[in-house]
Amino acid sequence: MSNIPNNGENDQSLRDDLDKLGEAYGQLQHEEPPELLDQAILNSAHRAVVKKPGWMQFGWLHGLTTAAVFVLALSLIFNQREQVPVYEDGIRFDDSMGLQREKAAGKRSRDIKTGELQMELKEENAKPLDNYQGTPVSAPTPDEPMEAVAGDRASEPAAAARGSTYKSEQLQVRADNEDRDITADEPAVEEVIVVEADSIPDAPVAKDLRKQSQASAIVFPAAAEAETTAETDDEIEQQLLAIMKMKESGDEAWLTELALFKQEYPDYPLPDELSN
Amino acid sequence: MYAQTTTLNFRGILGALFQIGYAALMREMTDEKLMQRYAKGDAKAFDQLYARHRAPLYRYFIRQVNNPATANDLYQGAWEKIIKAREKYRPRAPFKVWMYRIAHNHLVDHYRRMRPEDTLEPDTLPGTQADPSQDMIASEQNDRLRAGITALPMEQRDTLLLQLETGLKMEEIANVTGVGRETVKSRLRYAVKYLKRSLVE
Repeated sequence: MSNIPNNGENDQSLRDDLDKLGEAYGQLQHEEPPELLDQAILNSAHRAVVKKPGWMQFGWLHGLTTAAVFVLALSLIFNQREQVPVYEDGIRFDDSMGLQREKAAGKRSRDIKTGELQMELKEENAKPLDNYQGTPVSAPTPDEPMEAVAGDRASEPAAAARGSTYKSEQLQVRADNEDRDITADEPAVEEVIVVEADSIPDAPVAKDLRKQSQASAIVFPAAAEAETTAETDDEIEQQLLAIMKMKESGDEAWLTELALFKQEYPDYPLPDELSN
Repeated sequence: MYAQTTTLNFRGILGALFQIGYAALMREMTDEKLMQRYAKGDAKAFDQLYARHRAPLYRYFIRQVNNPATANDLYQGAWEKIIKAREKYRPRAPFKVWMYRIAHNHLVDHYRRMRPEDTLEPDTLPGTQADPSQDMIASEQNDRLRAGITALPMEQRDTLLLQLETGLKMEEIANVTGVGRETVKSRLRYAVKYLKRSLVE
């Protein structure tokens, strides 16, 4: 290989030889690629630079967004199902609480109308506390304010221990409720429970009973509603008895009371003494 | 209706003028500019580039392998690589050097894949059959030259074809083949010496 000297003279001779060879090479047939091959290559080149539509340029992002939305929707659905418990009677917790509030408001309005009956109740409540000591704790009724229930029932034993009259305190609570404007916006029942329960005297038994009463109030709304109906019937009967007493005593106000009663309970059957 | 037809005609004429002007502009552009334009998405630039280099590149392959089918595959493969590598192209070296480097590497890969029994097939080369209408002497000389090129060692043939077909300088051939300038010169000398002898004989 080294027998070819590397100098300018040899370079020139190489160039001359290459020129001659180039002339001979130019005489050869000039092959060209087939047209189909040309077309295939040009198509490939054009396809490579064709711009995709905007949404296709980020195909992976499109897929990722779809998947994220799907997962989010599924998680929301399952989360909502877990948050709202469904009871056996098909009534949702939120709905029953709303129903209780409505009924409690109706009860207050009735109490105001029949203010005189409160005196009767006071007399009954003034009876000895022995009547209440064996009373089992039950769920609050819709027509009873929850704060009163929680406070009253939890404080029963404590009141007995103090030797004071429990019902007088209860009536005081009710009287306070009546003094308030019922048309005004009232705090939610749960808030009232918290506020009023703070004022209950601390006693171990009272705490337990309070917890029990609150738990029962939350867990058994259907039972509470049934008890409410029974209690409402007792009150109606008491109202009728009061009207009958007024009539017997010759008080002319019994007519007004009867008219109010009929207006309040138009379908309730009246006793013979009053229907005549 | 008349106004609409006139507008369409006017637009058509404008479009045709634009096409003519654009094609003229492309013809004036260097290979490097055309490749840059193609890399930015101008498919017309590639058309012009392809028209300039299709025949020399095809002959580079067919004179290397002496088989049209293999040459077609190699030629298409090389262009596919050029298309794929369009965004990597930087106009630091001439486009021709960049393109033939890709073609050379593609050819080397082909030889590496080739089995030992896959030898060159001079019989399948188009034009090896004598054309009666041509001058017999010239035809014979062409056949000898073609056979001599085919008989060269691969490195010498590659270097000679790059010199004869593309007109690249020795430094550029050295850049394409990845060897030094002196090696290129040496290969060329050996190839020329061999071909001169074969033509005289």
